Amino acid sequence: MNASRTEILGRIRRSLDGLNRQQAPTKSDSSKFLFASDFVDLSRIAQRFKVESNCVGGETEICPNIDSVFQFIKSLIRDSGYKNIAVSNHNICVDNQIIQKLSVDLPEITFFNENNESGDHLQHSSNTHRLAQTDLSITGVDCLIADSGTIILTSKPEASRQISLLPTAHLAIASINQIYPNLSTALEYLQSTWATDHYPTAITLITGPSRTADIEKVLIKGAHGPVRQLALLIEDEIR
Amino acid sequence: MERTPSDFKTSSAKNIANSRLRETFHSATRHALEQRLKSIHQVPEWEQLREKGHQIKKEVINQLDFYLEQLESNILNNGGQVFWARDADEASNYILRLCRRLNAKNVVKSKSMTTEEIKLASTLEKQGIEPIETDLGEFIIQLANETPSHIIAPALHMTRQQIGALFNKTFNIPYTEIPEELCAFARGKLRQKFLSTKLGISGVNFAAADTGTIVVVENEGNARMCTNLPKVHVAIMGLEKVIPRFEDLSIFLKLLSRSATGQKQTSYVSMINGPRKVEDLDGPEEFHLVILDNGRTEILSNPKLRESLFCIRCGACLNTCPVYQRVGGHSYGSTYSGPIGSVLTPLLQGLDTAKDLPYASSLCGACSNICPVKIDVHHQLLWLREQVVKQHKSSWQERLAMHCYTSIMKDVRLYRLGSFFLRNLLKIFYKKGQNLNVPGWSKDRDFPPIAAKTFKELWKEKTQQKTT
Repeated sequence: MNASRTEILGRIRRSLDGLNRQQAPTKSDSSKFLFASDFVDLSRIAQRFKVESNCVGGETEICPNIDSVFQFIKSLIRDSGYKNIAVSNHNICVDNQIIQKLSVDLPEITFFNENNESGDHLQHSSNTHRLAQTDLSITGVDCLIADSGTIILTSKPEASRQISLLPTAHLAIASINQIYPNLSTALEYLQSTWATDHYPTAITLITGPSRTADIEKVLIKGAHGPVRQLALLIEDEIR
Repeated sequence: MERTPSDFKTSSAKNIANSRLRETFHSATRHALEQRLKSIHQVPEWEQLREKGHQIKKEVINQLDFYLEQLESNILNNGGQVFWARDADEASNYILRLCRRLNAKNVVKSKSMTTEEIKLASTLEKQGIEPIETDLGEFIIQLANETPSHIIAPALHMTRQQIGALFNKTFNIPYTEIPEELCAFARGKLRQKFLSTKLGISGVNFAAADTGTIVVVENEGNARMCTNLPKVHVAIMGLEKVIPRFEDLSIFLKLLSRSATGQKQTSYVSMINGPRKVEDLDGPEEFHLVILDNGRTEILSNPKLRESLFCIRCGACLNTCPVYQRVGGHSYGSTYSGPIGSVLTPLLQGLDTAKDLPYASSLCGACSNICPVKIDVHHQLLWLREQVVKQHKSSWQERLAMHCYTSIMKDVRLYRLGSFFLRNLLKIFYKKGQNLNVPGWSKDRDFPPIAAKTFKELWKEKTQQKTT
């Protein structure tokens, strides 16, 4: 607490003196503030996500089952010539044994799991520097937004913040059950999962690849973050 | 190159004379407006959304003390630290002390108008700490030793050839003017910095009081780097950036991205709830929030202008302003340019230096029409003009002219007599096929020729034609 705090708050109170100030409401109707244009056809929610993500340069594939996910990833790695691949510990990656199964079919490729290292600050950790050299990262997601083609990731023991940031390409695997129609419903879901002692320290909304238009308004992909942003949506009932 | 708002008349005249710069601003602002319009057409309820944004901002500004204290207590609960800064020096010194404690030789910065406002980069530089701008546009103008010419696109005024030459000279790399290659070079250069710098500095687009979440909106990913990779993250916000609830973000993110760049959603939105927890795999070990006053409580005390604190810095009013489109951002000589800058700058820096800015407007109202939180920008400019006049900041010639004009307009006979003389006087000076030379007016534009008949004469003719 510094002296300026008292002074600034004092100035605010003096400035607003005389104003008819009602008791601040604790809850607003923002989450219910939905319009007709927010409406998303739930039976075609995955298709909507795909269309919207394509519009912003993202790549989305709807996969009937986990086998087709493997097929897609294998041809992606071969076609793009990726050599180093990082995989998070999200349930969807661990339960489906992504690393184990891919390693069998692609023995020449290096796969690695993120791990929690203690000691030095993580910036200097091997995890960070390894991720900076990585061609492709594969993660799960917390949820997705259909009407903007957005994926949402939160910081948690299963995945770092940088795994979706440092590699050249990032691929997210999700179940279509994780797609929310719009931003308000997705934010509402995120907040409902918070407990007082269990909240994510970072929530990241990712919509398409990193981009810039700072030079003569020319749109360029891959300014600082991933050049390619991919999503695989599984129709099957999986966790 | 240090510019001040008092140079507005000379700077803007210079920029208007520069046809390349005019073309750049014309095409860039038109492009931005088209993108915005396209994205807004997808939201038929846009007007209701603006009204909602306005209402929430009004609620927060009227209860600013309550929401700031709530924000502070939630950030502390989340393990972050909060510092209140009365002015630019206090804010800069706090960040300087952090650098010293960390023994940091450099800092990585993401784009933030607030850090521009407090001139953080130059303060750090004077103390031997290298401030590294990481937004591509900011990186470019830092190399060129320039200031941002647009809230959203800082290097809007530069061509690819200029940027290519700049990179060639600064880094001794082969000349290229291909934007992709220039961008790739900057990416590689800055990546090394992100991985080695101890302190990351970002701005704040919104801060949700009920959860203590600060939100940073961007497209490049440099803000994610600055807020995630270094050991310490400092975010700096003007005290008006607080919003009541986390869920209100669904309104403001929609308003901001569509108004700023015409995007439904920007590439990245980072919502930060404090430093990493033990079980997290990464993230900064310390999170600091600097809450800056720097003249804002003064604006708050003025009921007529309080609304200017609603601004979410989208830059839409710049793009739509016929004055900004022609004179460009640098003419304003201040951090905040365009219509909203012409309101904020006189309020933050005082009317003495910025008395010309409220006049940098045709009062057409395009700024008020486009504002996503419905700030009545042009009426605020008008009100500021009134203050300038009241403080006798207008010239005696202007006051005399206005005085005469008032008397003439009040008396119909005087008006007729005056216009008769003026018309015939001008006719004498008008030579056929030549433009009239009127000092101060006809240097960059033509003086309109005198109409052959007055309105009254035309009216008489028309009504007579009808009756006959």
